[in-house]
Amino acid sequence: MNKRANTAVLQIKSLNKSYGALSVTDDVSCELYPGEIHTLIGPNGAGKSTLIGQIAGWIKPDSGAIYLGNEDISKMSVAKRSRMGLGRSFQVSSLAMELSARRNVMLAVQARQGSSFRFWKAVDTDQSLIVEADEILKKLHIDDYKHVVAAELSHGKRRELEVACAMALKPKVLLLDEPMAGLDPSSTQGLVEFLLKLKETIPILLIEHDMDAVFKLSDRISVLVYGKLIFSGSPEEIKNSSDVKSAYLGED
Amino acid sequence: MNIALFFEQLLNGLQLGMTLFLMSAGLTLVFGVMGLINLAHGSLYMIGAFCCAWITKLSGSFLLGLLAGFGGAAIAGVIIEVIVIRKLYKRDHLDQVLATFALILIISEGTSWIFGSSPLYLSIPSWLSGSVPLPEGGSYPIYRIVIIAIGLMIAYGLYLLITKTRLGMRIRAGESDREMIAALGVDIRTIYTLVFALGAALAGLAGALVSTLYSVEVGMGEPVLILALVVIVIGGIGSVKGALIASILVGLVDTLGRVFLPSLLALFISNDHVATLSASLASVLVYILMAVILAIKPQGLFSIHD
Amino acid sequence: MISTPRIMTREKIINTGLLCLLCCAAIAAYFLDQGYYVNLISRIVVFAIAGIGLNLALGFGGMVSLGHAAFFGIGGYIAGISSQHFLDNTDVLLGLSGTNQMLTIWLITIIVNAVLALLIGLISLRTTGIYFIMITLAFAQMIYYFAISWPSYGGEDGLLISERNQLFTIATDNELFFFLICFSLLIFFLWISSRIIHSRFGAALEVARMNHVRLATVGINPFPIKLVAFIFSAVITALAGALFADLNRFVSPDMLSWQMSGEIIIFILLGGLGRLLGPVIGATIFVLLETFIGGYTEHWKLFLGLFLLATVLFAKGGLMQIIAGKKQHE
Repeated sequence: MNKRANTAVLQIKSLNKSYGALSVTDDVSCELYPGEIHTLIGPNGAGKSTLIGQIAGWIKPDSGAIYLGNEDISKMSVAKRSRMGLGRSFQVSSLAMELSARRNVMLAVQARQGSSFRFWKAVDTDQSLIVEADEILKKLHIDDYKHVVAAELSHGKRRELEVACAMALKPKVLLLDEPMAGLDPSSTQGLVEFLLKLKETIPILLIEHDMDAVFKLSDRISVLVYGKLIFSGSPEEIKNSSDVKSAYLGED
Repeated sequence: MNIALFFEQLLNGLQLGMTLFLMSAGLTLVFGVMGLINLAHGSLYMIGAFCCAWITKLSGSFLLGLLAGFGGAAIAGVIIEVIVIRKLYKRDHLDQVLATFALILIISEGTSWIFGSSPLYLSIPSWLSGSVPLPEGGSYPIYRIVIIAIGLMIAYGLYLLITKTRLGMRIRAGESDREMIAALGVDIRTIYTLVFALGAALAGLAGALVSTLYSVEVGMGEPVLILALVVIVIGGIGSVKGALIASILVGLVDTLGRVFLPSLLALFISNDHVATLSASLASVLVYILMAVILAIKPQGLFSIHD
Repeated sequence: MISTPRIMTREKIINTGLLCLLCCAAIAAYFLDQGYYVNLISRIVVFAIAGIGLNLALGFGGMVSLGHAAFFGIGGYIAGISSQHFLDNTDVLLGLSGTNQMLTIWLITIIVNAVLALLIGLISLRTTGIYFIMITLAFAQMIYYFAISWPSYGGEDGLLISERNQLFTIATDNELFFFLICFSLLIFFLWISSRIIHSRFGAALEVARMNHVRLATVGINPFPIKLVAFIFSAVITALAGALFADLNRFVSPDMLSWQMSGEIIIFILLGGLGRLLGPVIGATIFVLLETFIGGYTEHWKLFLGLFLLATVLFAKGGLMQIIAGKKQHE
């Protein structure tokens, strides 16, 4: 571990956030290393989404720092962080619902090319956007749906579309907030395989409730309870930890 | 500077502030509870003034007129709420702006069809005319002091209503807890109609009270409406406390600005252009105040959404 | 809802047909010696341009500005003030003389309103929802009251333009020539705004309206996108204002009033929000109501109100949706 410490792609350093007397993020530190999937689990209300919100930039932490590579991103806007290479998907799908799947991905490609202040050339026929968007849609096996507006996609397809949009940014890191929620078993299986392949190139910080998927995917699992990271270890260690059992997996 | 004049203008500012408060309390409640922006609130103010002028002329009693202004606007409020406003709660702000803009057109043109376009005038009843002495040799009309007193009483009444009653509790639960209220088994439609009618009645009272000070005519509501909108934005939309404080602030800034800004500027520079410039500046002072406050606090002074 | 090209074409046919109709009607009216009706159609065209401007911010960018009369009115005042100084042969300020050349006036209108929209946008776009509506309204009111209390240019009474400004040496007093100037600008701005909304910028702007979280998440900051759209929007509306002043040979604070802002929104809404030709249809309906119902009763706005209310409550999407079907996205 020590050897890898200075190569962490994403580093969260003693992050704190409280709303009034309620501490939702309590001195949280964790890292994400190249080639791994690091999963955060915890009961509802443990502060997982607030933590993701702070990493993505929607919520301002009270103290602490977030590093992407060697760069401190904690003062940057959401958009800046995305451009720096932080891709994410949301717990509740957040897409341009009136636009087709392809247009959603094209927007992300356009954003990555850094060229939104072009006023003249039509987007509809812009091959530099279309070709790349279609490639990504194909990779996620949703290219059959590329002309369907996001609002009419099934819940599961929207999930995959969000991942596709994140991929289009060619991110250095992916934050995925419950990507499996609402997927049918075969789609879940497909996404698991895709993520396992993906992590080789893009490390992933994952939040997930589907414990089967969590154990299949994770290289490391951290447990968040009441805003505090109480345990971090390999899936095996998690399964054997009595602390985790009592705090979270209590039902087993 | 003349102390008596200063006192007089201070009270004028306070009186304007109280009129604005009666207008903005309803606006801000309706927004806070139902999430609705109602541009037609100025029309309710106008309805109050017309009812008051009409009934006072018929009956010879200004007190009855005031009552008619209050009640007439409340009834108009219920009708408008049931026919139109109810359909707008779930719509976006653009729809609300446009539909209530349409209501302004309909009510204004309707009123001028019924009453004609020449203004009505009402004089202050004898038992409320006269003035009280101010320090340093000035005097101040009793009628305006009555307006200030009524405004303060209403403010206190609203405070009691919101903090001490069950209806107030539901009002405070606010827009965000719509489902919660519904789950409690409260008839939410009736509450909405009541809140809207209350706001309308207060606007009508404001219109009735000033019907002896200004001419009663079509279009009288819109300038007050816009000032009231400025008030609720400064105060933080949804907050009655914010509306009270911002009303007084806007009333004072507007009144004192118009009177004292020209002489204040003239102390530093003196030529003809400064006189016109300061007059123009004084008339936009409240908007500058609002822009500055929003630039610093985009949600207003006492936002309920913080 | 897979996009159906057939309906897209239908909207295009309607668009082309409507523009041809407007143009032919004006030419026919002119040769039938009905100068009044030519001016009426010019009025439609000018209102439509104002609407096209606002549509960029409101229809495509989702910015509900209740203050676009500020730009419309300032455009008008620039035309009026410049012409007054030109005819009096006096300086506007600091040795800058007036002009009656439309091109120069338009250029000044563009610059002044771009700067103003930048300032208003910088403050207003920090807010959203109801606060944005109110703050744009407040800025417009500021300018309105300023115009009323500033006596040099007519104050409350407004300012007469005794001779229409000139475009090169074209006789702008001729109703048809003036119409053709307005109509060319209408086509020009339709073309420009069509290019803009279909460009990369337009794609980002649309998503800023639909879901600003999504836009920021892909790494595009919504603020500068909206700000630039707001500036474009203001400039187009301001140019309509300059034309309107010349059309009526008169500018007054009414052009700056919040009712005017409301009416510009009405142009868009009656036709169809976020539709390219929505403002043209809306302005046509508006002027027809104004002229024909206004011919029977001075209370024609009562009917406008009822019409508007019915549109908002029952026909969201405006007339364009009724005749051309729902708006399509790729």
